[in-house]
Amino acid sequence: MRARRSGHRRFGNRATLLLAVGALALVPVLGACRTGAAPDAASGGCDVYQLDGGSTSDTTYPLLLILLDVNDNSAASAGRVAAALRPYLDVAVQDGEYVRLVASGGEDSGLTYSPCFTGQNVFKVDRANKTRERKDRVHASSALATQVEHTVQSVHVNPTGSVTDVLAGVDHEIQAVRSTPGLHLGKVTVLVWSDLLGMTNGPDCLNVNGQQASPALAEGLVRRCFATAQLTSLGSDTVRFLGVDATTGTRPQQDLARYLEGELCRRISTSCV
Amino acid sequence: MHQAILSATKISAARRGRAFLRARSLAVTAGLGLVAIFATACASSGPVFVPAPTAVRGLPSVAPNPLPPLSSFVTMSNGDRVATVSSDFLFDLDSATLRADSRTSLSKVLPAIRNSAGRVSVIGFTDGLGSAATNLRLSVARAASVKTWLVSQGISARRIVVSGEGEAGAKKNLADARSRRVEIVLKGTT
Repeated sequence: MRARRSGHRRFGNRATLLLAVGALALVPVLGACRTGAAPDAASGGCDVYQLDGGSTSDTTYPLLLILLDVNDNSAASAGRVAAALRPYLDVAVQDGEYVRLVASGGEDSGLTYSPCFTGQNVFKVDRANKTRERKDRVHASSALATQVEHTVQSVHVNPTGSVTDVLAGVDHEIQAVRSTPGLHLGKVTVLVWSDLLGMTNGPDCLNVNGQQASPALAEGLVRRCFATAQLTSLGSDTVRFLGVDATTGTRPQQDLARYLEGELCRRISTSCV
Repeated sequence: MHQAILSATKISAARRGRAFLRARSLAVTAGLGLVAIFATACASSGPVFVPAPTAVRGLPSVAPNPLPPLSSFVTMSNGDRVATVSSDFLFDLDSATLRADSRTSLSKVLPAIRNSAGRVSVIGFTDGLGSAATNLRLSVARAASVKTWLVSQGISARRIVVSGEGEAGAKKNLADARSRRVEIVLKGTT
């Protein structure tokens, strides 16, 4: 009888141990989501990586404005875009940044906005435990990169278009964030993903179809963009052109894209790489 | 008697084993259920991702530059011979690292340099954008890069003099591709 009771106790202890192990196994899963408020569907579920009340905080945070000239919405292309943006997303969730994303698939396709990256809230992952924080930041950055991939894949790509479709509205996009009540905007960094090889039907200053790959021609094209106010200078805002190296075109196409990148950089900002 | 006790013990052990297995299955099922519920709750909050039909924009037709990136040597009135090459062709923006694909064209100056006996002057220039000090540094660094490459091609380093003119001759605050250049000067022996 005593042996049976002892057996029941052992069995009870083992079952308790199993339940405890199971509960412990849930902790990392639970840790992946922010405790407290439930994720908000309107934000694309991205609010779990944002500060609570970030938009009403007195602290100033930088803005990362991502402009995507999507000329290929395949999964492979989306992966390349996300990979190029990943280092910037890493910094955003670490240091805290507003992030706004605007994409265009070309002429007449309109602009695509991401419900995740509206620029209205600060992305930042802070944890008391540094190991947990490091892991959660990697997880957050990865999840945000996936959001970028989804946005690229959801853009309707038109057979014609150019980077001016997104670049022309850059001032408007920055102002849209800056004018949000209670939001304290600091330094602005603009990331532009484009191959810069525009081909349009309309009077687009960066339509390079039928042109020659020469620095002088690139200079003339970009000068015309600014002279006709199709593009405007961003002053000292930081601008980075991404995607030109991803061009798989002919040598003249690659050369012209590189010359255009240089010319755009020289004129669009005093801080452009 | 002993056999009866032994038999009862075996039955009891078997029951405990079955009960334990049932409890373990229950615990695992409950745990997985909780994970599934939580995962569903998280996932359901995400946006509905609807990919657009896969499409790729066509690339424009771009012709090669009919002008060679490197001029032939032009003889000046003082006997110097000068070849000019666009910095945009040799370097990336704000970089003094010679682009790999520019070296083939640059190699066209080598026969003339090898056939000359005098000094070789490599001079960098920039346009008028940015600070004068930065432009001066960049022009010197770019000229030095060209010298390094010439030396790697067997030209004696002692023959080559590097200098930078920065934005000299360029209009201030104006982007000008013609100003961004490197000149290779074969000093006249006359």
